Amino acid sequence: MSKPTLPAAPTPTILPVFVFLAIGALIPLVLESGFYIRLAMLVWTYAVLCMGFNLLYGFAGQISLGQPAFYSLGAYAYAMLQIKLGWSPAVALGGSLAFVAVVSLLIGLPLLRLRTHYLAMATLAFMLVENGVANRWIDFTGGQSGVEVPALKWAGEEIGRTGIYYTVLGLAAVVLLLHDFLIRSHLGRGMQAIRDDETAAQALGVRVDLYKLRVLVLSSVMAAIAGICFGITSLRVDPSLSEFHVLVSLLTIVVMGGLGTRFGPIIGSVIVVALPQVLTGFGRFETAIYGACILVFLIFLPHGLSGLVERKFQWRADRATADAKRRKQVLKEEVS
Amino acid sequence: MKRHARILFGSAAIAVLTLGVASASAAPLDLVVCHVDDRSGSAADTGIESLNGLKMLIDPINAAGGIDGQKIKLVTYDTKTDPQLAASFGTRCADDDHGLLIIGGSPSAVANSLVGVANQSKIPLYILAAASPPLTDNANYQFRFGPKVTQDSIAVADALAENGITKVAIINNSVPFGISGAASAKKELTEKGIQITSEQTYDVAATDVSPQIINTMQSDPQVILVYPYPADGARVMRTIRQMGLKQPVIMPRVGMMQAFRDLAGKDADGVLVPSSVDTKRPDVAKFFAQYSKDYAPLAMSPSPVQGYDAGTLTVKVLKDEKVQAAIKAGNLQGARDAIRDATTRLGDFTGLQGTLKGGYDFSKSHHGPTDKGFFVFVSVDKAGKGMEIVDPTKALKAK
Repeated sequence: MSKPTLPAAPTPTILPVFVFLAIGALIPLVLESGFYIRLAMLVWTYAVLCMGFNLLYGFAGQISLGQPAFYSLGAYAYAMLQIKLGWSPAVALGGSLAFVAVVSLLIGLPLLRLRTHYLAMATLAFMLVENGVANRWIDFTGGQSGVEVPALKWAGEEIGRTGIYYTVLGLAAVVLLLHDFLIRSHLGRGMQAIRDDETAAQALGVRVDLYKLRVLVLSSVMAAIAGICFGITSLRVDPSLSEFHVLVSLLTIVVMGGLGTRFGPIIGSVIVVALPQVLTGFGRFETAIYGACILVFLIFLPHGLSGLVERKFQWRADRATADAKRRKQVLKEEVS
Repeated sequence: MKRHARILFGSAAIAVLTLGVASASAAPLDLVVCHVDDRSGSAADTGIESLNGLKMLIDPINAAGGIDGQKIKLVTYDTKTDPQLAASFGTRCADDDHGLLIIGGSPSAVANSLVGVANQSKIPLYILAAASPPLTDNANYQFRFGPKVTQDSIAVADALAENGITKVAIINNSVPFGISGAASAKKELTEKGIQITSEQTYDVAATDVSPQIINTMQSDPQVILVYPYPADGARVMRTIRQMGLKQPVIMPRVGMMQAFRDLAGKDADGVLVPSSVDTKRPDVAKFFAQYSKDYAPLAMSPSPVQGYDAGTLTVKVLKDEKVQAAIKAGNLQGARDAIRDATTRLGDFTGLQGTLKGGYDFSKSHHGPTDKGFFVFVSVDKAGKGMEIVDPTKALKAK
């Protein structure tokens, strides 16, 4: 698999992050239907899942197709810790994230020695193994029926859909802020250096192995948070969380939103969650139109919608800088 | 005191009047029924056929003026074997379309998602072909029309035990249907004292299943039990025939599917299937003749009759007095609860699925078909084009 050609580094401002979160916070006030709130929850869930993938592949250049496995593991661990050990939701949240972090660390140590499609295949195999275990260890995982996730409660009462939405939004906000901070920090620049040329990055003092392992663990934990968001939304976890359609959705979000961009995961998730609902009116042509949309994005918007917007802003910023330089030069000449 | 009493009485009268006007002015609900099932993807046949079966019942009723002058509005969603998409469509039906009832869920994973929606949104769900047993455990809003996989397994184990079969090999694919089917069969066969000589699993996309067939052959079974999907089922049968295995092959559910029979062709001939459709019944034969005329030639399949039977009960419950009262009052949740209750009251009936000895048994504690008398055995013939009801004793001994 060839390395992706990506847009220039993003403008380091946190304002758009707060704009996205403010829009998210207003959604339940604008949309009263539980259906739309559910769609919004799914958008945030997929956005969180893809933010981890974005860090790992988009910024660090490590292609992992095992993200659905961590997504599923996080959800199962969150449910099991409550059901089997009687942990509270908050403690189960911490416990499940720690569990996934340890698993990804153990997986990452041998797997990150591989590169490109070898790494992709190895992580894909991990996903298949996880899915096989979830399906076949029927006594523990419930097999294809899965397990029920206990409903979130507040003061002994089950919280409603809006309450669940704000819980999901809260988790997504944490991940979004972390995602944005990492991209704008030295770790983000280190990841991009690894993506562009591992040898050159090492020569510049980037500890390549350590960085790769860190970002794998981090992206797995983000996938686990997404799995927990899905669990508290749907109140059930089953093996379908680590099946191919999740991987396909993940890759479609990347194509439509934009890989290696700051907001591609959110924009791509909005499209991937909303598009099938919009296309239901087309009947039997629905799937064909969905496929055609992906093709259009691949051909005309290879960096996705977010890449297009970010590039436009970058171009404007570059032009403003060039104008300022030119004016300064003119002023200098006039003074002299 | 008098003044206070007058104010109180006046307020109460205004409140009663306002409530009365409000309830009187609430518009009756539309009779919205959602069909949420796979019409593309690996289980597309089941959803297409069940929708056709459902339409065969609803279209004539609508053409005749509907129920009490109201036509049934059928909203359809294709779930593409994607459980998350299924849950979104289910929620859309409940919250956005104001559906009274969801019919669908042929693959178990899709049905599983819809069960979550049914319980969260408190909307009745008529599950179609899904085989997973726990779908109706401790069920409240969900009812199943297709039998549990354990019911197929019991029918197979009974037939084998009655015919003195003691050694069976199991081959299944690695998707949930294959895994749960094999697990269920193993349990029922073991309980009957039948030895499992070999258990082979293959990937659903595997192009070569000869290693699994060789292992099966070496274990020397009397009967081979296969749990595939249609395409891989055809590959399994082709390999079994190429390797010259003569043992009878039993293929629950998938053996009846048109896609399997088309792909396997003459290799499908002789495959035995425990069938929940008895085409010797005149009403069932008439139904399939009409189906073939309206849509496409179809020898036999449980999906259209499941759709038709689900439609039959839907119409029965929609005509129910309490359901109609809630519908006319514009009380959506009241109507859904009334549909759930009416299903348990009216759901003891013989539909097109099952035999005349066993049909549906919906009550407060049982939300599915009867445990006994629901199956006949059929054998595929005419190079996959036909199916014939057979006596399992003769079919198993003839080999």
